[in-house]
Amino acid sequence: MDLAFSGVSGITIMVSYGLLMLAIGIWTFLKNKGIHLSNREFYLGGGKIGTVVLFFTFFATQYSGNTIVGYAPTAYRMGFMWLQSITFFILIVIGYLLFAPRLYILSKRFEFITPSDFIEKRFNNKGVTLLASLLMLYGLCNFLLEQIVAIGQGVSGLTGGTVPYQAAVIFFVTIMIIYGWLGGMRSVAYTDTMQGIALLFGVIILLIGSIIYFGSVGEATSYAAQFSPEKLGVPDIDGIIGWFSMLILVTIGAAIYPHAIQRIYASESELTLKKSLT
Amino acid sequence: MKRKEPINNWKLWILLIILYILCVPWYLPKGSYNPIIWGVPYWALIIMGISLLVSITLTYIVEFHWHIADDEHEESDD
Repeated sequence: MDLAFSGVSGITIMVSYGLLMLAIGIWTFLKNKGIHLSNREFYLGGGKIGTVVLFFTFFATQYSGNTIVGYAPTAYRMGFMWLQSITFFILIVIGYLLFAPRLYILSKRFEFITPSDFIEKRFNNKGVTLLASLLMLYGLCNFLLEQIVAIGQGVSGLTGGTVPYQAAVIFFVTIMIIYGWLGGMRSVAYTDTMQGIALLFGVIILLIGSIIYFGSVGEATSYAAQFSPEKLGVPDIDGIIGWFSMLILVTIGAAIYPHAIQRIYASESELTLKKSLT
Repeated sequence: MKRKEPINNWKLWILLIILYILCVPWYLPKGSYNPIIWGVPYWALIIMGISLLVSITLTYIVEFHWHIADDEHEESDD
């Protein structure tokens, strides 16, 4: 297949991207000598993550590989009904408003490091804490698997198969393990910042490119009106129920991602947390 | 500054629930999509407008109705 990123250019871009993330991890490790001396330093960046980095790390937490690889095909299949994805990402903040203000204060007072620390403090019961931890791990395993699939499909798809699925997964997972081990939460947050910026620019350029190569939104809508008008219309009762369900599911579910809760703990101050959410 | 926590303000939650319900186009005629404005069906623009309204409301709530930390620090100073 003759694609812009197939062949050497594709490999060069992917390897450079991976090495840049690795360099951020090494730089973080060298700049923060005591990073491996305490759990708080390693897992929460010392609880001193600032507004911009916290914003981007929240951003990269909510907008995962699924958003990149899965949402465009979903919009293609569902039509304008997939506008619900814009709404539910905004509604996640409502989920945070239910618990984040108080949890942030408690996390500083009792020096929580993991979401399980809060469960332990609240219920003071090993069984409940273990059960909650297992449920969170179960959820995270699915989340992690989704990211691995997104890496493999994304890289092999973008490079027209020049970089095989398995090679892409092994290369990027190795990079992530190294920078995660070296710099802990700090390097994850800094690489999230780099990736968040790349994501923002990438999506804008993708949008412009799509309009240039495939035509405007108006043209796509005219085409859909001719061949599948059901993708333009107000959904029927099943669609409405599914839409409501999705909004509720994401509002509650995405706000309590275990890795999102750790970012609440990692915030430098209440003001920093508030600014990063808006 | 007075201590404020969003979850304790029922007026805000009524406002958010109303916006939440309006986020889904159940109140518009099923299957309709005309007029199409800037290539987008009319109802999609309404939903995007309400989503923007939710966003503005949440920004307002976070900015002006969430304030706990300073009081906590004062307590610990005591």
